[in-house]
Amino acid sequence: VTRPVALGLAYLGTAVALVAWWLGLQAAARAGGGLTVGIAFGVPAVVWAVFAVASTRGRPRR
Amino acid sequence: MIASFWSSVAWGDGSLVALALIAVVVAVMLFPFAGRTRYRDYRPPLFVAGVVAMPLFVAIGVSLRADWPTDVRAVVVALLLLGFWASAVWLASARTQGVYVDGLTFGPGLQFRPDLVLPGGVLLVKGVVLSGVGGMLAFQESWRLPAWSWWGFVTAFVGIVTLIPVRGMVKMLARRERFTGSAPRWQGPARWVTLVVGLSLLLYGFLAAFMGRTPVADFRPVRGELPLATALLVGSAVALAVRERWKRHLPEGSAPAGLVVLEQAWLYLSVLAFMYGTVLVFMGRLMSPQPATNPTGVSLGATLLLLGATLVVGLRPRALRNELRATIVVMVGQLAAIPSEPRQAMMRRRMLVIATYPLAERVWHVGQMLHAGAVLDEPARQAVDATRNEVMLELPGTVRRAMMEAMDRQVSA
Repeated sequence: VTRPVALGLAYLGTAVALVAWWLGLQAAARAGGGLTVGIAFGVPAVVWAVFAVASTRGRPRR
Repeated sequence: MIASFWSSVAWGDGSLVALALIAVVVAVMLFPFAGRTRYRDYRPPLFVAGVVAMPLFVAIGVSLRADWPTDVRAVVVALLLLGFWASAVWLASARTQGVYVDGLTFGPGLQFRPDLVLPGGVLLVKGVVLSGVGGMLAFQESWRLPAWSWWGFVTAFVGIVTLIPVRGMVKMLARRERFTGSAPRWQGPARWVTLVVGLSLLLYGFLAAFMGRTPVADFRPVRGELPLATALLVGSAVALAVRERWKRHLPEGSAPAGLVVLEQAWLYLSVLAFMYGTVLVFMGRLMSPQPATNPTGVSLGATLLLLGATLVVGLRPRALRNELRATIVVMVGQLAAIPSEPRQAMMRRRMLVIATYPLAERVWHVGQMLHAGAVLDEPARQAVDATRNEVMLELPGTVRRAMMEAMDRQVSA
């Protein structure tokens, strides 16, 4: 996979994830405020955790 | 199900355009351009956390348009704004910036390093937004939450891009020139233009967004207070230009903390005046806090204004200092990575520049260069040390003595 293709895929993936998040927030907005806050902070926390774990793979030991 | 999906996607309200813009920025900032093995070294976890918290704007927009009782909406929006503030606070930590990693160069002496410009930019933008929302809540006759327009946010986003990546690039280019010998004449004007243009778009966009209006289509200047508004806009823009000139006399890196805080307070107060001028242009009447009829709005507004001030005046000086330190770390790493001949030439130019600084500034920069060399791996450190020693021997006597004096002070400190 060349770098521009990978970057395009990353962009599309982020866009799809954001639209899914936005739809989730819309659905939560109909259900209640607590769920909205949960999704608003929970999803970025999960994304961050995935990045944190994925970026340790293949990392040389110090 | 597909039909309900399409019906829930409101194409015309601008929300998908806003999401697309955020997606581009998030994807580009987090993409592993230099591979995954050393990802954390050039995109540290605190930086990643700051980027993934950026779409909180989306949650705030959705909550402001939600069909809940006002008090529930107020609590949800307050919590989201607190998260919005907190996700800027941790960017003031020195752990937001990474170290030099090979594979991010995109021009001579330039690296794709958003961690070197994002913290200062985000602290300014979020500080302005929180203060603006605070003012808006306090100025209302009675307590109510702001509205939300996605097209307003799209306009503001163009301002955010101008203030953070575009202005950040301008600062990086100017810093590269300053560090290697020339103080470009364009640097002050370029920083000022990007600041004023970015602020104008940001304030106009968010004012439209929080009033639920569509920019241009149904959000235009109103006659009424135009003379005062013009005076405020021109006056604050001039104050920002004077600040740019004054900054030229501040020692870079070694300026006393009090002066750096004063510089940010100058920026913050000028921005508040610019903001009030913008509000007058589009509201057409004088606005003031209404504690008698809107005590909730005034107290919440004052809290948000205070939170905004903590970001710009309290934490931004720290973030800017960290950016400068990390820029030197990356620069020295890059120095080690290039061939011997250009490394010598660049080291020589850098030393000639440092030798012209006043003593305190010289000692600070020498200290940062030594520290940056110390965090490199062994072969890279040896290459930089050897080049430094060779260049020192060839320097004119006065320059060498100035450098030796700074090194002695640094070692004894």
